[in-house]
Amino acid sequence: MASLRQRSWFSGLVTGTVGFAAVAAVTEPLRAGGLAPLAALAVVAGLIGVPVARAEWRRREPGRTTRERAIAALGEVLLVAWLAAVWADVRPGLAGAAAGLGIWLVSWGLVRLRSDWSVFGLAVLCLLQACLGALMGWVEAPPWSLLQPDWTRWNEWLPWSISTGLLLASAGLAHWSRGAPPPPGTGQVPWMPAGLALLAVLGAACRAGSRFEADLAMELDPIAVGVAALAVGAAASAAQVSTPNPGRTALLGGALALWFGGPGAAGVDWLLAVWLPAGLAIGAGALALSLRGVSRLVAAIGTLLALVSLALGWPGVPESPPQAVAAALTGVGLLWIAGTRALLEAK
Amino acid sequence: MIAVVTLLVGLAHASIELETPPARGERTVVVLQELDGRPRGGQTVRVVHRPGLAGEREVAIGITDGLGRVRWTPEIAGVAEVRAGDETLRLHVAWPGTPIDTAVVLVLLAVAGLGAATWGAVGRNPRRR
Repeated sequence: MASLRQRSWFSGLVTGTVGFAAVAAVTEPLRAGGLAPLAALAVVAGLIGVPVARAEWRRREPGRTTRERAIAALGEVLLVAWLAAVWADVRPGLAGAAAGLGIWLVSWGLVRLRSDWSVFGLAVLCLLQACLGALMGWVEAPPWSLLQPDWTRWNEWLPWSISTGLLLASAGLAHWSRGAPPPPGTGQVPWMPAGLALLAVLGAACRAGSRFEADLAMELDPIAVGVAALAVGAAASAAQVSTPNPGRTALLGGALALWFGGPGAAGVDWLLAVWLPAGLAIGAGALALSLRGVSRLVAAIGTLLALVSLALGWPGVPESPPQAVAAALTGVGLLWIAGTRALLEAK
Repeated sequence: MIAVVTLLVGLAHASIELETPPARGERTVVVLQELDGRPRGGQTVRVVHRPGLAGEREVAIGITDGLGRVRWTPEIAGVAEVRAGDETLRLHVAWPGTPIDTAVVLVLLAVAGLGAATWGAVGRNPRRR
């Protein structure tokens, strides 16, 4: 009997689990545009993210040059940093940092015990939570007010839609260059993570909408925080399953959780608005350089979109020196970690 | 029938009540009373539709008469907040039916998510068989 890892859909599930973490960051876009940002996200994921991910999937092989290894390491570091930042956004402060560290340690323990089944179980649990939460909320109050699409304030939510749309399919993250090679004849698998993650985000949006309809609450309730923790935990496990050194990834995730919950709190906004789209642009741009034909065009459009997200979401110059230091150290630190990792792997 | 919905805010000195549950396009009456039951007249009453969301809109309902009453016909369905002086009342203006545009986008997104996940799980690329 084939193990889970040998199933064609397992890689899709792993990457989809990473996309689930977007449920934790869905409240602000909903407030700005209802379902409009989710629709834009789905379009970006379907037209650009998945094709780019499929191109990465087809050429998936270990990096041979230092540049390829650096791009792959940057993708992994960005993914871990995004998860840590999303959690810090849900639960800021030292208590949140401690919880974030705990999430990474627990996910590492799960990966050590039964790597494949832990990811599978967490992903199923996360999907069930999102669907049940949406259904239960719907019974309480249909979520129409919060979900009503507003297309006019697109400049407020489009950066999030682009970045998250690319992330849902792991496009440009070099994520697909890690882990076991996909079985032959599985070229459609990259559709799976984007679809699963979209369903999870929709469930979270319906839940938030019902809660808003019932009592005007925009802040996350304990159930939503629990779902976010579960999603980030599942994503943390998935990120470790797909990397060659789970302990190292967990260590990085825990350290970044402490950084974003403490001295580097001001770096969260900059990571989400600047460093993440910049990293996506670098990943997709490098991919475009190595491809030919239509795949190159799609990857180039992905690069351009990531740059548009960066330009639209530019948070402006930090207001104080400590904020500037936190924002700069976050970016420089991530680049340094990715570069060092690539150089060490080259030896 | 009075007092379908009532909210007393902390140390507030008045209460806002509605004669009938608000629904889009249907007239109701907002009643403003002191805590001891005396009507509060001459108070401007406003409503904020979709508070805190995109498309937030504030509309003046009118000024209460000597009985503390003012007529109101909601034009926008969904969550709203009635304000009179320092008092506020959060309420829900009933939708006349399912909002079609929102429902269509929601269904399309759900179908897209489900379809993509299913296609990714069971689909095959013939060129790579």
